[in-house]
Amino acid sequence: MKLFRIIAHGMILLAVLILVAAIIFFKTKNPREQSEFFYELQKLVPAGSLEELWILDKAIQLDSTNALAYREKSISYTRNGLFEEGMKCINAAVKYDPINQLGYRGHVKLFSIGDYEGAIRDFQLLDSLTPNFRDAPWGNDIYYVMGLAYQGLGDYQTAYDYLNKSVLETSLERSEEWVNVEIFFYRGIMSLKLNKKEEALEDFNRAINYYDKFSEAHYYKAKILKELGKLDDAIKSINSAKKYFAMGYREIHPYYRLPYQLHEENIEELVDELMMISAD
Amino acid sequence: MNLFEDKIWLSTGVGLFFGVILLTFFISNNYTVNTEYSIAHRKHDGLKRNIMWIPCDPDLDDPTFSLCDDRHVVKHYQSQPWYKEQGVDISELIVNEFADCPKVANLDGFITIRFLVNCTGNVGRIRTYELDRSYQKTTFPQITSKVVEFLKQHSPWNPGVVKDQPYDTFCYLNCRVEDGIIKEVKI
Repeated sequence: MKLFRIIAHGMILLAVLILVAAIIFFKTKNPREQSEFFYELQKLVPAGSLEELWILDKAIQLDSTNALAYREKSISYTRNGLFEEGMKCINAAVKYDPINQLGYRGHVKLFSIGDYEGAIRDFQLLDSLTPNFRDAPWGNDIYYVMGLAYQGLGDYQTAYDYLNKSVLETSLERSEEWVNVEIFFYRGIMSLKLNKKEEALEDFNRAINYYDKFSEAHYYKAKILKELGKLDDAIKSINSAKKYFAMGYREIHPYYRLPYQLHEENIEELVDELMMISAD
Repeated sequence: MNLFEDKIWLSTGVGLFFGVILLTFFISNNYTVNTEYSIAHRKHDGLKRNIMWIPCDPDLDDPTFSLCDDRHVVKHYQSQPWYKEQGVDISELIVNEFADCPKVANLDGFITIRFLVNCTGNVGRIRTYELDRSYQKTTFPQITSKVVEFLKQHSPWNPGVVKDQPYDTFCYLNCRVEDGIIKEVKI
């Protein structure tokens, strides 16, 4: 019994000591470090929960310039369609850390909201803040996202020019193999919009060459071949698109719909059209 | 003084010990998943403490709309509910429906419609948010109410599915308005 009491008291004293040490250690940290502690703490609770927002508010209260805390709050709001609150938070993040947060704001405007002019302004501002450096907002090449933003505005020539710039600069810096195949795909789509079918076909072929399970590139290739009257090749391409699409090789994003995202109906429709033409 | 014979130390120690145990139990009960029962209750409380949640408003909501299981509402990107008519997606249907509306100069901005699709595909608890190009509150007279009516008429959807199981799902549509016309709907 005495041994039990010794162990119990020992454990309690140890716990109290650890707690006191932790509090003293926390208090010795500067407000920025304390804020960062709360920023890390929010990763333990569900995204969008009131607990997460409370912890992030605490982080902001300790250091009102913690851009990451503002951005994390904005992510929770924008992913739930609450753009007014989301933009307030991301604007604050941009205010305190423009170089690291402008790209994310542009990305949200481009893909989630459809504010293409706003996205272009953000990407241009980011580019101007980092001279002689090619930015990658939220992981994508800046010329690629600029191209997609102009595509959203319906300015296909400028969109093509930016996508082309992305391909050329990457090819020059490294090699064509380093180009993201999606950029070939979208450059092909822009060529198609500008009625340059041969160039579009070249880009879809290039994309397929580097990634043969690219359902969307096979689909648009089939569309062009159909228009060029190359029926057998078009059927081959649409069959590839159908096969890989059914296997799950699709260009999708978990949080938003991508431009020119393919649906099963699109493929079925083209299959039917090609079957009808070949039957005639 | 013999420390361990001291009754005050003993009672304080025992109290602290049980206090720590109770606190640990409380935290773990809230943030760990042990059984089906705890999953249900954790989500039941957690969901309503999430900004995703759209509470029922008897003044606004259709009393016939109900959720199949309000403890397990998922997000649109988890279960992907959809609505199509002859292969045309709801986003395109909305754009096509309002393409011929009269232009209103400088009436620009965004209309966000947040709603729930229940496990049978019915749409309910529709909430709208209207913002101008600077993301400040504004109003789009005529347009918003028409889009909401359009959405109500285009139901049932194909419910969101996770592992072959239909779920009640939270969704939103974001409409880009230019000169009083809906130019694009983002999902």
